Amino acid sequence: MSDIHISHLAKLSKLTLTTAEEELFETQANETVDYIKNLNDLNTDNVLPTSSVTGTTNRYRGDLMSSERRLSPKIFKVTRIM
Amino acid sequence: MSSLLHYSFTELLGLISAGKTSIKEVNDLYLSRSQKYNKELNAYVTLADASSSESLQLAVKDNHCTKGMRTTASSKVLDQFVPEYESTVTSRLLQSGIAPLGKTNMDAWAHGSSTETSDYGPSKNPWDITKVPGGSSGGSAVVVAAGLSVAAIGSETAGSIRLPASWCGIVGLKPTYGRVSRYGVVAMGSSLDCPGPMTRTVADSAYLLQLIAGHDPYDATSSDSPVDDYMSAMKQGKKYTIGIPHEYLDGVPQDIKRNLLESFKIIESLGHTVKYIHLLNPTYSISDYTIIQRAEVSSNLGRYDGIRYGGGRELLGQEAKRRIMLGTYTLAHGYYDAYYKKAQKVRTLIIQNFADAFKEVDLIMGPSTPITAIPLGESAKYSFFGELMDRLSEPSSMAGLPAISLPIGLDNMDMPIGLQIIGPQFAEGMILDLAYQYEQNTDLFGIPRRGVEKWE
Repeated sequence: MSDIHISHLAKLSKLTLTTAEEELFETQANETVDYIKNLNDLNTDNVLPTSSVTGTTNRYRGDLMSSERRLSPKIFKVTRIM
Repeated sequence: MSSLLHYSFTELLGLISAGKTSIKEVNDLYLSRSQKYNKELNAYVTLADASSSESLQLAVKDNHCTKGMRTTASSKVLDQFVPEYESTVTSRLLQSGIAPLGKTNMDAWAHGSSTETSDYGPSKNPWDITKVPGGSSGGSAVVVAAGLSVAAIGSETAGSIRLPASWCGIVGLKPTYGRVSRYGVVAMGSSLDCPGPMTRTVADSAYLLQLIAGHDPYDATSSDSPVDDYMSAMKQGKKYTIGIPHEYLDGVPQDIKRNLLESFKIIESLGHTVKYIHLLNPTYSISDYTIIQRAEVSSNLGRYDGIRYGGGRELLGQEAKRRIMLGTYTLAHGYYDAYYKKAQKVRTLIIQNFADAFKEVDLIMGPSTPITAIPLGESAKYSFFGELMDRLSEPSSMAGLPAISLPIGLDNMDMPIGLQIIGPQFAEGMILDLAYQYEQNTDLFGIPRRGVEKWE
């Protein structure tokens, strides 16, 4: 069994759970974590982690205003204060 | 003119430009059919108010932001969310004269493989309404299969286009990660998400991919590698060496296997070389996908705090909660190296595994899914339903590879079976070439047409 404390994870995730949900999720999360441990069969000692599958690196653009993406002022429900 | 129903999307475009039909006539047909059958199939969350006379209308999965048209991702959290901007995919379609016919039902937040996690109820499989259509792009698959839309846009993280396309008997193309912009698509697994076409013919998929593919300054992960001319690439008629992974046929039921072996023979008879190969056991990809995707979900769904999008976190469904918490766990201090970082390293191994395979073969093929569509409600019996059903898509998705699913026959219950063709990154042209050759030779066994005929 894994050391999962659902109430703590719920707090970190800002989720409110019922007692029934807490019990259900704790069982399921433990099952899942037991399953995913099969990755330990694979030796990854000298393997670099992948974060981008296509090898894209940082992209930059000029810090310019674009009217194309300006949102309509109508979406703000409160009056402008500054 | 109900015979219009059996023309493909590209054929309709030809008829319209030849003046044999009009945009309005096509839209009227599909909107009226959508209105008529949606009650039974529950394929749309939102339908267009009226048919357009200027833009041809196609169904779009409800995780694509459409300016002025409600976008829910099938979650009550976004029940009232009307985007202020257009996703790049729908924006490019609009520029090509294609507007949304409606927004299709999906698993909430794309978390699932049956549409049963939708807060708007499950969609029904048009081949048998007691069965699920698959997911998460289930609604898009249903509307295409039942002839409520001539083609549709779906999206895939791992299996969400291929699985419902396979279970509903249509063509589904999952492009290379980064080939199609994710801008304006409700984020699920940001290192995996990929919009793509769902159609009744290979040419329609090629045509639609052409319209939506390409670099987008608003998505830094979109690729700037040149976009092929897919309609020409599709007709190259090249001969390929194609690998069939032994591991993908393990545990596949006999009736499905029989159809697959028949398809392999057809492909061989077209002059291609077919050989069996080995790939990593897909069970590792299930785990790898579970860790990476849950981690990305926990981060992406953090923004739904009830401030910017109306509904609060109390509206999140059980599946979303499960995934958020597991992602929070694997990213937590003390567990990060054991789970998340380990998974990122295994992802490298999966990528290398495919790279090694592509030294020996041009393309890889196998079943799209381990089984065919299951009855509504049955997914609850599996503790790992989505991951098990998507296990033949997860490896290639983890490696960012493109793939297409094609209908190749029916099982003992008369439900469609799918074959997938996987290629190296950005080899959509090669995939479409082989798929088109197969389609020319088999007419996909008339399966897409038969799906529509069930709803005439």
